[in-house]
Amino acid sequence: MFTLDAVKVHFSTNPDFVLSRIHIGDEVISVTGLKSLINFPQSVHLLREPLLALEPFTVQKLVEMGQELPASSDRIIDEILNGMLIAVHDATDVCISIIPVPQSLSRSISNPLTENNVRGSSSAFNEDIDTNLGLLRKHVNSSELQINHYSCGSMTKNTVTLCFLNQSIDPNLLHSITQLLESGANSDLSTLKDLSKLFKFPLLTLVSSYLVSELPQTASRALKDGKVVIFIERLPFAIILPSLISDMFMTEDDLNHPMIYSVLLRSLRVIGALMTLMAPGLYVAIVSVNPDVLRFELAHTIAISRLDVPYPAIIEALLLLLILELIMEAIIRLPSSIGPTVTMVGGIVLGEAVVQAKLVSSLLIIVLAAVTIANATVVGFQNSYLIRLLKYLLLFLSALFGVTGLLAGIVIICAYLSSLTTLGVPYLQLKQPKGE
Amino acid sequence: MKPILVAAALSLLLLTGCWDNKDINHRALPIAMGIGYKNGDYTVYLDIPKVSASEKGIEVYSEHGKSINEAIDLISMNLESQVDLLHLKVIVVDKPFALHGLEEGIASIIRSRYIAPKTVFVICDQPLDRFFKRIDDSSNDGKSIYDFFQKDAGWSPQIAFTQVWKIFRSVHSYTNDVVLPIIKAGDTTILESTGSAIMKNGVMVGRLTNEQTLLYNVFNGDNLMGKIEVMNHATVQIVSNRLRCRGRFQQGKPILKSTLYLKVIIVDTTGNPSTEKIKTELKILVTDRFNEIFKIVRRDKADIFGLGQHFRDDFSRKELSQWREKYLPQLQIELDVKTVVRNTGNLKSP
Amino acid sequence: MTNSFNVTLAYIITHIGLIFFIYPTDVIESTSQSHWMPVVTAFIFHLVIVFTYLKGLSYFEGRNLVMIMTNRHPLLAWLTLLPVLLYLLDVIILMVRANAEIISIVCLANTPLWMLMLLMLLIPGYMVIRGNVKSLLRLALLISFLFALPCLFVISASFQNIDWRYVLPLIPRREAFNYLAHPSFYKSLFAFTGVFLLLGYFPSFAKVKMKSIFLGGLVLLPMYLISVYVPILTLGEETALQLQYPYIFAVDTLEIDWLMFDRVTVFLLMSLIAFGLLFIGFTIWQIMYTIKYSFKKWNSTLIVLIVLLIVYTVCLCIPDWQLVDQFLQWNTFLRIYISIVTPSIIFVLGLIHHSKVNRELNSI
Repeated sequence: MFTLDAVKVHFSTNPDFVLSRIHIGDEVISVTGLKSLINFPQSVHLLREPLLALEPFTVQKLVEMGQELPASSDRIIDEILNGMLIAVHDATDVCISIIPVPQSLSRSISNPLTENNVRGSSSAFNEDIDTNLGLLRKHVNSSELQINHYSCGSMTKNTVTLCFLNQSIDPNLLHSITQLLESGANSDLSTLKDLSKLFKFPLLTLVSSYLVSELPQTASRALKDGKVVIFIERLPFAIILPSLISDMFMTEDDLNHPMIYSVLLRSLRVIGALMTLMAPGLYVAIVSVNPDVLRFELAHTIAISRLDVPYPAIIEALLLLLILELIMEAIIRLPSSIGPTVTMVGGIVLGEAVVQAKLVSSLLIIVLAAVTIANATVVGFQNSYLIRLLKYLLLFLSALFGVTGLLAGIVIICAYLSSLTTLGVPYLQLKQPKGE
Repeated sequence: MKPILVAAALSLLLLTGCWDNKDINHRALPIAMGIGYKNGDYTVYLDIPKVSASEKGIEVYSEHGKSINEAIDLISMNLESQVDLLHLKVIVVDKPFALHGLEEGIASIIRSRYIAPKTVFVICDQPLDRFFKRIDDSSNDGKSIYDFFQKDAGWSPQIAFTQVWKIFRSVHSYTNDVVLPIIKAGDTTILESTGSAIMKNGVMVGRLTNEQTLLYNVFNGDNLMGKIEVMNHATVQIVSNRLRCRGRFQQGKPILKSTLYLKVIIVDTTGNPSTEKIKTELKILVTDRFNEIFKIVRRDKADIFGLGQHFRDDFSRKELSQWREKYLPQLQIELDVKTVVRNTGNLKSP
Repeated sequence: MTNSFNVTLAYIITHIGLIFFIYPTDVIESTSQSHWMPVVTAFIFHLVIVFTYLKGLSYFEGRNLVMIMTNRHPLLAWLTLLPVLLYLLDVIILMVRANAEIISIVCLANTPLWMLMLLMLLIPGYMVIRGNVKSLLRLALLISFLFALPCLFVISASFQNIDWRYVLPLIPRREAFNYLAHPSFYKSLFAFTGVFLLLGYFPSFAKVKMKSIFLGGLVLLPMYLISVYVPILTLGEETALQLQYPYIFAVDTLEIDWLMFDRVTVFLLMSLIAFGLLFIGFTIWQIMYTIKYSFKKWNSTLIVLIVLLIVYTVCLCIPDWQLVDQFLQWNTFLRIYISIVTPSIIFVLGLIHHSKVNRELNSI
């Protein structure tokens, strides 16, 4: 009984702590837990019913209903915090933890919020790690699927789950990942940044070393390709390691289309990425450094459209790009009911007015609108950040060196991408992550 | 990553310099350039379409100088924007310049690399100031002279079509000469073609009429939809043409056996000529006209058809270098014309 | 192990980056007729040295040139590696200077040359400092994915203005082998000897298959011929002789009506410069690797920076194109030395090593 007293003292200031006693015949059982995590009445009912039905009461029967715990108060506190129901037989001090009826704190499985897919299954991961694992198991029905639990953090405990397919994973990759995870038992792990820190990913990288996805099908494809899927409790997505360049252009959804279309769709995304990168730079290069590249008719038209613009092309492009970036950021922040208003004001009113006022050339508006649209074709939100940023590098270089600068920028980007590695796996691969 | 940041910072710093990169609206993009020549003095005319949203038209500027580049620099100096010759499409020279010889002018154009080698070269039959005044006065959008020589716009098969690089080739090549179009300001239309000039090593040595130029174009394998009149009996349109040549040597004299394959459509007939008759008439006409041109070629010793090309295998390089002077006047051509009348239009053949 | 496809690709595109600028000028200078003969002669020479070199290397399974040489007598190592180092340094200087010059001629007349040369050096330097040779090989794949298409498009379009009859005479009557005595022929060899050394650095990092290298060579032969013949067929031999960059000029004469761009030369040039940058990157890496593993084990970033500084200084000291040409002429001796002596040494060492291993195997 004295173990429970210590627990009671520990939780004394917590209003959601419940300690109640139930009587079965002559026996008294103390039941305790956190009512914010446990649906208490139902759980107690669930405990009492079978015990009443199975008179006479023996300790053995109580033990069979859950898992027996050593009578240490620390252990009991841990279990209570994990959301378990603790029952203690007062007479013998036998202590068990029982899986209760939980409070429903997670949303039900719903549609993906940040990723759309046309033909694949449209259930998405959510905050509950067990739900996520269940979804994954449904998608990968295989005895090869191995799931390891790690409990990380010293102050706050958080569960991290590592999933992989024994058959397809590269043992070296698996070894380095498990070692890193085990070494991080004491560090807090609740955000992606913590994870990056744990895996020692470079701080200033432009390309994230992992892919984040809400879709169980993407996760299952990654497993089959020999990658690793990590779930962190309360993060509503799977973290796929390592990420490859193909993640930018291929989705699992493509495979549900006929071959020709999936190939065309993928090439469309490549074109979109290239266009986003190059179009603003090309505009600046052609307008201010190398007008000879264009045909005469086009050059003349552009010259007319830029007639009264008072500053160089690079400033013009930067101004408009800034406004576009602001619009994109504003739309995320605003509630979806006001979003369209911003789009309209930004896109139509501002765009029209800016041309009327002869502050930017109308061609630039067309170019940048095309770029913004093309930017969105890339798969994965964090990947679109990458090309959104890199296009500025090309923009500056083009302003300096014209078409040559554009080329130089592309080569620099290529050099950057090809030098990237994640846990010894080069970024520049299409499917199977292999070592160097 | 760090180098990217450094590069970005560096480029921001350097943006202040930007090496006088002038935006496109601060550049004057001339579409045609006229070069007049008088006693070692060049007069350069630049035909610059107006860059303005409201009014269309062109502006013509001119300046004198000891060299072409000097004159251009003078214009550029006096103009509010910088002259950028990269978009130049047509170069017009006056007849005195053509008679004097284009060699130096062409060499400086090729060397300067500001003018694209595919710029079309034209000779003007009248003084350039009058020619450009006429163009300036006629209210057009300034591109007419360019469209006139655009293959997918106003060009027609009676007009020769020769770019700078071809003249450059003719200046240096042993076996290739060119024909330049001759134009003048028209009475009703803006421009008017008055035949073409035979250029030998960059010097004008003779002239062809418009009809002869058409045949020249046919012979050179330009595929064209040109009209050709057949005697008094019919008009036919050439829809495809192919020339096959075989050169050989007989008793030290070059002989070229050529066969011209023509596919024609009958456009118009007078009287009731049979198809056979049209064919023979066409053959006689083409052969006669060809012989006419060829007589000129032999007289001027200018190989505008590139006939020497067919004998490249028979000569050593030294002999080849004498082709124009020694062998071309001796050359005999046996021309055969084979005609197919593809259809006779909407009416049945008579 | 990076697969041999990447190696072959790198072999092809670095060559293409070398071919189209100066090479046609030299070949056209070296003879006045039958230009295929100097091209094919040099190409056969190239195949022979590559074969000897790769055969020799194949005896030392998975060891590269530097590893082989550092285990030998120091004199032999110096005799092989020092000329190689000098030659590579020379190649970079020439490449940087020539590329900067041609960019300045074709599209950036206003930009100062020092800036262009800096660009030409900083980018390859970044490639080498940032990654290792494997990332350079991956870069070769990515760059050829991006630039092969425009490059091939322009090359195939460059046939637009040709006159086939300029090919004749195919077989000259006399003085057929005069080109062998012409210095320009030996100058033109630089397009064949610039890259092959690189193959000797790969074995410890990537598979080098002799068969796929020779297949790559088959792709290159048409490139060599096109670069020489397109200007000749378009302009005639006499005219092509007048030009500084005949192939670029021939491309300048193209007219493609349906394209919104007027000058396709720029696309060709950009692709070639990208390949050239990769080539410079590889060469800097070669120098860095040689210095690091045979002379002094400095930090590789430091070595690269020093090399860049040296090259840049020398490039700045070259005032005119005349001197570049002279440079090209002067390093003929070095070029012949490394292309004959280095493969031979490797081959002979390989044979000795091979028989030694065999004897050991037999004695067991």
